[in-house]
Amino acid sequence: MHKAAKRIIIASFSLAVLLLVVCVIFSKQPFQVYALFIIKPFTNMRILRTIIENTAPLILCGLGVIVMFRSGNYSLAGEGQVYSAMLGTAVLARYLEIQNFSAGIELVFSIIGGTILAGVMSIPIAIVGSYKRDNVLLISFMLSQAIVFIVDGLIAGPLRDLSNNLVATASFAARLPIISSSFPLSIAPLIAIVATLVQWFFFEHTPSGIMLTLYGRNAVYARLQGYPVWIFSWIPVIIGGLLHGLAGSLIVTASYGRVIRGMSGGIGWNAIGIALIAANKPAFIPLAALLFTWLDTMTQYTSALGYISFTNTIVIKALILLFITSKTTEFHIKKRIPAV
Amino acid sequence: MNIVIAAVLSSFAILFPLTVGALISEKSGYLSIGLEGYLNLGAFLYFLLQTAMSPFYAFIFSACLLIVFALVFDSYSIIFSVDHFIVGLAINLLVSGLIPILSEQAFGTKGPIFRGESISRYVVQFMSNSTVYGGVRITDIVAMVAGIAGLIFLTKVPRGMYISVMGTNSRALEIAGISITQTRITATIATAFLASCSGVAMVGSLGAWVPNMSSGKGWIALVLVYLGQKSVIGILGSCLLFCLFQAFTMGFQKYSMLMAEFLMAVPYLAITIFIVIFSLKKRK
Amino acid sequence: MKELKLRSICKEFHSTKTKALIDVSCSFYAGSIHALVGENGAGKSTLARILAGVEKPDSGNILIDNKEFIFHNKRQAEKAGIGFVPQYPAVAKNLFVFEQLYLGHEPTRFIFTNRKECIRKSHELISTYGFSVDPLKKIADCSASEIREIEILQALSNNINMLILDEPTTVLEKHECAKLFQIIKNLRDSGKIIVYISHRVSEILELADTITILRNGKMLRNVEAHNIAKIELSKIVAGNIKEEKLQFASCNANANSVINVSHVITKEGGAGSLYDITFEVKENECIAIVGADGNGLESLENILTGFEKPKSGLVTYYGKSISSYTIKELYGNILGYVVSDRETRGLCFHESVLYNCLGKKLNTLDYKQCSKKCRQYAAKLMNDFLISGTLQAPIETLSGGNRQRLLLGRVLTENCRILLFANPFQGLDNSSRNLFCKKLVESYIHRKTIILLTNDIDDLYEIPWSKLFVLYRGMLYPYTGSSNSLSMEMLMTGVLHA
Repeated sequence: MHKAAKRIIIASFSLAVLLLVVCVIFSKQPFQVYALFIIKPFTNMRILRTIIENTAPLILCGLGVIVMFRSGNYSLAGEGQVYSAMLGTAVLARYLEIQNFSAGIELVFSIIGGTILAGVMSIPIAIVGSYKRDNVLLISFMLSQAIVFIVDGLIAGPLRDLSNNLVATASFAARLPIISSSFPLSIAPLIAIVATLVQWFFFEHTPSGIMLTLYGRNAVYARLQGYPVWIFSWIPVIIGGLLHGLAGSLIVTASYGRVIRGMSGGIGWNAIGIALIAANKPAFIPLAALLFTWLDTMTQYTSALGYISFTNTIVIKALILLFITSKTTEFHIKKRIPAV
Repeated sequence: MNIVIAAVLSSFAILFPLTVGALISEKSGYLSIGLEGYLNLGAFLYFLLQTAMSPFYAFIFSACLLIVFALVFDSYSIIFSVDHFIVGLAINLLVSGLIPILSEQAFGTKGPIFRGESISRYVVQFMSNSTVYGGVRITDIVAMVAGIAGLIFLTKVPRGMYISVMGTNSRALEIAGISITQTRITATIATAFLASCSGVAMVGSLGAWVPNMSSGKGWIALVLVYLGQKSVIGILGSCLLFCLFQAFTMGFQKYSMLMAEFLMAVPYLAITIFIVIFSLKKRK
Repeated sequence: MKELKLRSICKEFHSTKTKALIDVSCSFYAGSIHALVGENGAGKSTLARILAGVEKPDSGNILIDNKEFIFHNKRQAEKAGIGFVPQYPAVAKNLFVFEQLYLGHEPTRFIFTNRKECIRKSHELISTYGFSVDPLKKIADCSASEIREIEILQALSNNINMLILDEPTTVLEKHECAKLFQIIKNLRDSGKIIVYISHRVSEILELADTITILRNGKMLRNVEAHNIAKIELSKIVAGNIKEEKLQFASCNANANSVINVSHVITKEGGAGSLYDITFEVKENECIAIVGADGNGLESLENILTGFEKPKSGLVTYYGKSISSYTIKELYGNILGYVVSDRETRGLCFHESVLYNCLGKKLNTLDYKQCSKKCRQYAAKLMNDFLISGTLQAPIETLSGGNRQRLLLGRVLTENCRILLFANPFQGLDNSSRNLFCKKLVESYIHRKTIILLTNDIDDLYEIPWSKLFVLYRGMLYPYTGSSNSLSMEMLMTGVLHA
């Protein structure tokens, strides 16, 4: 069985068990809360819509992580890139709105602007990575932290909308188009699915994708085969940044219309989690993202009702990460393949 | 001037033992990604335990608990062949979720909890016209002594020397008949203990528990090891310089129009720029 | 310790199903130098590691003065008086000499290393055995011969009675060996048992009192050193070249020069250095360079493939310096390279067999039907070169022989003008070796230029060579067949005219 499929199964099973444990420990009505988690998304269309809507940016971030990890660059800058793109998009959209541009132009240019901003944030990481990939980890985290502080400062300071008590930027009216009025889903999930297909095709069915995968595994091998190693040393980092940027832009333009302080909410770290669950395979990212988004959305719902809280589910995610990446839990469900 | 010295010492007391812990881990051949999580957990455990017992016993027990926690994950990494990078990420994530749960159970809140001077008294106070501008607390001394002890352990004690040999050439240990597993365990214990001391200093300096009060210090410690070229003098220097830089930045806040967040970003940006320039030069 | 006996020692490595030692028995006596010799894979190092406690035998006994010992680890062997110096240095460059000498049993005061006492004991140890190394020097600043002395001293610091030296001169210059030999003789004269493993016949005959010859894990015989002829020993150590099976092809003097290696010198001193290497390869020539491990073959491979820059000298391909080619030009079009280190350079672990088969083919494919073409190409490769395995399975599932076939097959199907093979037939059985030799000959007929670098004489058969060289201690010696007064075995094992 495919490694990613095994990990999805292990993650789902672990999640189900750990959730039950959390419900039993922390909730006064554990089985009702548990049932709520499982059944509610299928009976409440608004919750289902929210889950699907929230999955889209996580899918894009996960795809960004895959591009970087597959090229051997372990970048932790996702959080900062998403956050900076959110701010860039909101500010540009508001500016274009004030300049009386149409909603369409406002959306297109603000999304492009936010995406490019996140891509620009990746340049220092790409420079360092092309010299020594080992340093990408630390510099990406430093840069991400710096960006988060700066964006926080801008939102709370010069860009703050003082007309209300929310620590947020001024809002803009334009929103992403809706696919269907009967089930009001924006085009963000569609964009995410298209991106998934493109990346799946790139990695599985193009020579460059295969070369990049091999480069990420063994750069010396790639060099000896005459692959374009210089390009591979920095372009994936930029593309990863652009994908994170697109995610941030879509979050803002899908429903919020503004950036609230702290809005990135750990999406960068979640993206790393789902990329690991999907074993760096783009085709499995939507499933892995759905798992996490379902968990987060239902936790939000149940915590509002006072049942369990967000922090419980963070623990669940951490334990899932450990379980799925353990080589001994990669058992074979249908048949044993002989060990090497 | 008192403010700057107080800020530097306070910051140094937190960062120094943590950086020594990061150095020990790096010397053993493993980058301790979970250091941020260790710091937060160590700080919280100390804060939790000193509500029920004396600060001394709280320190001992919190250090022991953190060491056990670190060993459990280290063993998990070895036994189940999980990459230590992923274990580190998982530790950071786990601790960020675990602490609010424990805090709510113990204190009824996930938010900040203030206990003031009772956590740690001043040993030396910096004063100006009867106003205290900080000083050196007992917890600061404990942390700095632990940091120095960590450096002495690494350089003067045989087991500490084995750790640096393991990171250089583990075959040399094998040929000398020294157990690599034992050496790795020693490194884990030392790193966790120093992270615990750092946490103690952090809680002592604020007199409170504030969620995510570490603010990335675990990661900064890793970078300082890299900037200090993984040497004893180097990390001392890089640690001191960073604390000085941070103190000036925070002090500058008083006189500047810039918001606190921008000033907090300055050290991170400075490190990033330095690493980028260093990489560009090396490429040439 | 007066005597150490090995009785019926057997050792099998289950992971590779290799019988490393089969019923080996021999005795070692105090005050003697006992050499263990044999071809690659004879079992010498395995025997040494068993003696040193690094490996455990599957069956058999170790008797010291008629008392049986079982060693579970190296420490126990040391306590019994056996010290071991491995072939490649196992020292920590960040330590001082005195720290390295007493690593694991440092003198301490309370819990701290007693530095003064350690330095004093180091001085004492060094002067007792007549060494000349400075205990206050950093290991990183020590030369190869000093490091060798340090390792011997480190073993002696455990009060050992038996010292095992595994290829100790691999990392040494010729002039450094004389000093080492004197030290070894002094140790013998002081009553120690010295077990000396080497493939250098001149050294063995100079030093050893007794020689045990191993072949394919079995003990062939025990001889007194003065009772065996130089050439006979050379044949045993290097492998017996069957000159009738060597083929030579004529060189076309007017052909263009393809590869020119001119006065190449690599790092100074120590293992693997090259000294003033000069040779030329013309178009459609086949040349072979053969040499035992530790004589510079690895360095030559790195120089020819651009992984290492020479300290001085020049390497050119088609008249252009190798460093002036782009990666794509050099590795994509010009050079087809079968690496000796297939684990780190030749294969991409944790990826599928399919991906590993593709190699340079990916440079020529476009995205249209890429997957289909890749699968077809990989399937054909596996079929043509008899590689057993599944395309989707990880490369680790292939056996060593299959991996080597994959490597060879991949390079032989590339459209490169120069083919460089480094130990290409390692892990292959005879029929596979013959298959690939035929493929090599086909490539030669198709006007490719071929260079073979190997440590195994058996690789030289079936292929018509324009030139043959022997690499010994970083220097190149031409070999032209039986008209040469020195046989290839003698060249490889260092039995040279002055």
